[in-house]
Amino acid sequence: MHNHNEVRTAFIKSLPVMAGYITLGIGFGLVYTSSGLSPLAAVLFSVIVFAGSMQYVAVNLILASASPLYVVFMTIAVNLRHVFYSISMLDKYRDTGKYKPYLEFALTDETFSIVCDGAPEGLDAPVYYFLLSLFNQSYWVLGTILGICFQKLVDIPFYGVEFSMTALFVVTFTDQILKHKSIPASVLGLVATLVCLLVFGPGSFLIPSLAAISVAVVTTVAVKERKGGPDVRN
Amino acid sequence: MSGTELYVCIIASAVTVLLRTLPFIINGLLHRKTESRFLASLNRYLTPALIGMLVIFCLKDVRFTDPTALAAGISVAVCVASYVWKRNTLLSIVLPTVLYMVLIRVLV
Repeated sequence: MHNHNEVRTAFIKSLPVMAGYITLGIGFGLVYTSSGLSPLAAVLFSVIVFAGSMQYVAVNLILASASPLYVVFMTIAVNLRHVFYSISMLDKYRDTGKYKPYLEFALTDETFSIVCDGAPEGLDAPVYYFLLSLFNQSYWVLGTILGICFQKLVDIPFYGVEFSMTALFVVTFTDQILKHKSIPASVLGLVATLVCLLVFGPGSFLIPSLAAISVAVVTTVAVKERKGGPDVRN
Repeated sequence: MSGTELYVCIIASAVTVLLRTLPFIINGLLHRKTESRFLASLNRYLTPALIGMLVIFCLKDVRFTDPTALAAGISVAVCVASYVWKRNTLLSIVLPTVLYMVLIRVLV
């Protein structure tokens, strides 16, 4: 094998993601097929969308026969943060040649959290990034297929398993609070969305929430930029 | 595979790919070497705020009059507490999910 070191290092670095992706992938496979939808489509989602939370949301969109425009808005709302992962990776992914399109496609939350540290010394960076992204997506697809199999084989009603998505976001939220990463912004997102939910109702609160958050964040950043002070924390 | 499944899948894929590649495309067009300070600050506030939004999004269908609200409340509390205690992502996803599945069967 030509890239033995890259394969080994990428595999070791991907191990924490393996556990999470297989579990969440199983969750997605279960939720998708136990909603009476096609197993083939579940796998297609994990291959061409590869965005955990959006795939869970998509189940609700399909069941509600959401309009294409609403699907566009929801995808933007749920996945907008990926724009910022890509912005952070502009430099590291600059000279990755033929791997670049796949690296950009497969930049999920979990993959970002590993590649943002860069490639270990002495490795072929593009190959390492590529293998890491590929391993992570394999776990996701494998988990989806396992979830479909469990749903077919085991006669247990799995309703409630979709709570794993809630738990994922609650964990991420708790983590950013514990690490003191922009606590006011975290609380703002939570409170603004809660207010919009109470005002606009569950059917149409997401776009107003996103608008409110954008206005608040852009205003804050613009004011801080104008003051020109060092903006290290919060 | 129904038509709805297909178009939701294709639109979700296209929009996600667009979001993930847009910064690279724009950067390529502008030949910019580094990210702007404005974008960096924007990123620092926007991402945590969006996670806060997603927490509420997941709980949007919970009705306070419904027994599932209690199950969701307890499970979210266990999720936060277990993460503060152990800092283990997997544990804090599996434990409250299993608890939620048990509670909605017991309480309802």
